[in-house]
Amino acid sequence: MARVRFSGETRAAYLFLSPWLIGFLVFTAGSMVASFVLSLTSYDVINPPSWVGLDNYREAWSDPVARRALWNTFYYTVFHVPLATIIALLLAMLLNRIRKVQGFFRTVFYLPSMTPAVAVGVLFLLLLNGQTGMLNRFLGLFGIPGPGWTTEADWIMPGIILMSLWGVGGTMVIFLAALKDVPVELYEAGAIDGVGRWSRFRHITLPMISGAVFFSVITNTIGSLQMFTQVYTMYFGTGSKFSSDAATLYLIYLFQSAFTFLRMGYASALAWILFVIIVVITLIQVVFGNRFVYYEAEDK
Amino acid sequence: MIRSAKWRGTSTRRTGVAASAVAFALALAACGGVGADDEPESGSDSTTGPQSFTVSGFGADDEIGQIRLALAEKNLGAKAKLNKGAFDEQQFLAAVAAGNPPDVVNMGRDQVASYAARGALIPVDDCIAKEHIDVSQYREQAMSPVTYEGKTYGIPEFYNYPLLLVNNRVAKEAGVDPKSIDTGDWESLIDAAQKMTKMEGGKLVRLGFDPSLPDSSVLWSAIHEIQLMGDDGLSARIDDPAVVDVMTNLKRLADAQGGWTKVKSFKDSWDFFGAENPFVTDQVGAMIVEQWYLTVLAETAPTKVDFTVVPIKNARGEPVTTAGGAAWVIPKDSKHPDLACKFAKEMTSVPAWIAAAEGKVKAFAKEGKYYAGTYTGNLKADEQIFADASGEGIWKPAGGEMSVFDDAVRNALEQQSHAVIQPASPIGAQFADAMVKAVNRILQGEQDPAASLQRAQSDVDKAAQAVR
Repeated sequence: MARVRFSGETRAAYLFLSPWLIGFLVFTAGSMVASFVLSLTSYDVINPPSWVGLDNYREAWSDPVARRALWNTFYYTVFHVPLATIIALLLAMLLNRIRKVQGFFRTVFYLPSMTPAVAVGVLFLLLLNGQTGMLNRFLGLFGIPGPGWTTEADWIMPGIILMSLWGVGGTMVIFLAALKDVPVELYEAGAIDGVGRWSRFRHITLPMISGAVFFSVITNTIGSLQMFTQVYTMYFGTGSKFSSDAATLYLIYLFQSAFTFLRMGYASALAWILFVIIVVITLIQVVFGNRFVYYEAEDK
Repeated sequence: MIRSAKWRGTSTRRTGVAASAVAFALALAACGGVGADDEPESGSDSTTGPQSFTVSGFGADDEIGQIRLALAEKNLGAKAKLNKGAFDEQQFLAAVAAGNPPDVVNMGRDQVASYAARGALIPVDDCIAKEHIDVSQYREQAMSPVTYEGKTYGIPEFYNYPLLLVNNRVAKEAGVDPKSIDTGDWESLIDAAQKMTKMEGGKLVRLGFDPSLPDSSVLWSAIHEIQLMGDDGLSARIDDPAVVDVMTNLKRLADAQGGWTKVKSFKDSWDFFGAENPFVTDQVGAMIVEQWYLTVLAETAPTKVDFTVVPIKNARGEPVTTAGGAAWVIPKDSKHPDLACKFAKEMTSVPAWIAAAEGKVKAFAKEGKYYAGTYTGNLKADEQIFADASGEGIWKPAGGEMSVFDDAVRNALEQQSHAVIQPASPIGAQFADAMVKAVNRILQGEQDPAASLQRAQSDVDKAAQAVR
């Protein structure tokens, strides 16, 4: 068996990586193993865990609240990811056309992503208020009576999705960088051939930035399935007593199970179920998405 | 070149070792808890005595907190290290699990039984005996939630209870006599609420009666003489037909005022704690709200409000309310349980409350503000604070344009002893969550009252089964 020999540079690279690696092993991998073990126990955080085997997983399977929370989370993800991707792409394309003060607008569009999630939650409670919120006032200008975005069960999730679009600036910056890498010659060749705007976008821009789009879709999907802070602040945090079923996302129910109901074992099982769901969805995205991604190094 | 390469290699190794060391240091530094890790392992208060102890869930944000804290520290000869902010269950549980909890914690009395049942708290009966704490000085309604299976787990602090505040201007405009508002009679209540409600262009601009939902379900059940939780703290009767009837009528009350979604949106737009509060702007006709709101109204725009505190009455016309507040508890593995006990005693003693109340009066006097009282779990302290009849109390009626507040405080005091308390329950959190969600489902029209309460009952039964 051949011994693996690391060069000096490789060793240096690993050494420089070691802070992250140690952090990963101690705070992520270690915690994951611990949570898996806990998922097979009944554990209230205070007393020693007792072995229950797969009971927590069986309970999660038949728990209507967990099912509703999972449904809400899928609902959010299915709408948030495409909307965020399209809006970020439109903004990036718009910015890419601007030559002057592009940096200023890039900062303006990116700034909301820097706003603390809790502040965003509180802010949107005001903006989406059915009586006095800016959104309904705007709709009122066109004679449209806006719904109760934060109070009507059917409108709570659309309201949350609207709020989530506040942070598309991060994705927009990635798309903008990808757009800048598209060779101008391709557009020039297209123009010579008389290719229209839509065809240029469809056959030049989109394939050339498909890697960035693919990356954003995957990371956005994972992030959406883990949505927590803003919604928790709006509907479940201190002082807020509007913990409607319609706003119960999967991670919120997981958090409540662990820290409000003192069921850390059950919460760990919920966490592992979500982990498996995320892995499966990501794998599907990788397998199918890769077919549509253009890699420059490839000869497709 | 060779020398250079060798130097580079040595440098890389050194840098790598340094990076690893930093990573380890960071990892270790991140492992701190909220407890006193620099203190001895077991309570060693008897000999030299520790110089400091850790306190969680207590911010000492105003004179009432600061003065009591300073007095306690002086009397104990020890320094309290405050982990500021309200009680944080996630932080507390992490600290308990790590065996490094704070020495003493200020938490809601409704949470005490839940932690006590799981062994996270030390019973304070020995502490009470050793420190000669007179528990008879505390209100029964404040002691009951911290007593679980015959043992005492906390020393009660504040005493908060709902009142019914009626906006005189709005009531007069609507032709409603404030004293005629009867919480025990649905028909007259809905009628009064409807009269005081005002809509403009399909929007609610004045809420006639705010029943303080969804978190007042226990109060509304008490008004209709229903005890939602059994004496064992586990047998709930949420889906009882009488509760269904209460919730059906609360839905009618909301619908009579434009429907719950409009009511909630309108309430969310209020400047509740500010100078433009709903009593100043006449956005509300009557409201169920805890007694501390008198201080909010007195601090913000006292001359712009005109209101009456009316008794919350049950169906038989008798006054009724509920009560809540915090308690001082000692977590298991507290490193200074004796000191924690003494601290709890000091913070809730009559002299501490009196000193704090006097300090608050002075501070308010400087700013020209009206002092609306301090409402504690200590009956004897309250008797001294509100001994206005003899003219020696700390709260004193101001008269003149503040007589509205004088009357409000007097009426509030009359309500104080009529609080009905839920039995201490190890599933208090699940019960509260299930009720809030059930009420929301009903008010939003997602489910009819019977189905929604049945689901809440099932959730609570499941939680009870798990701890039985």
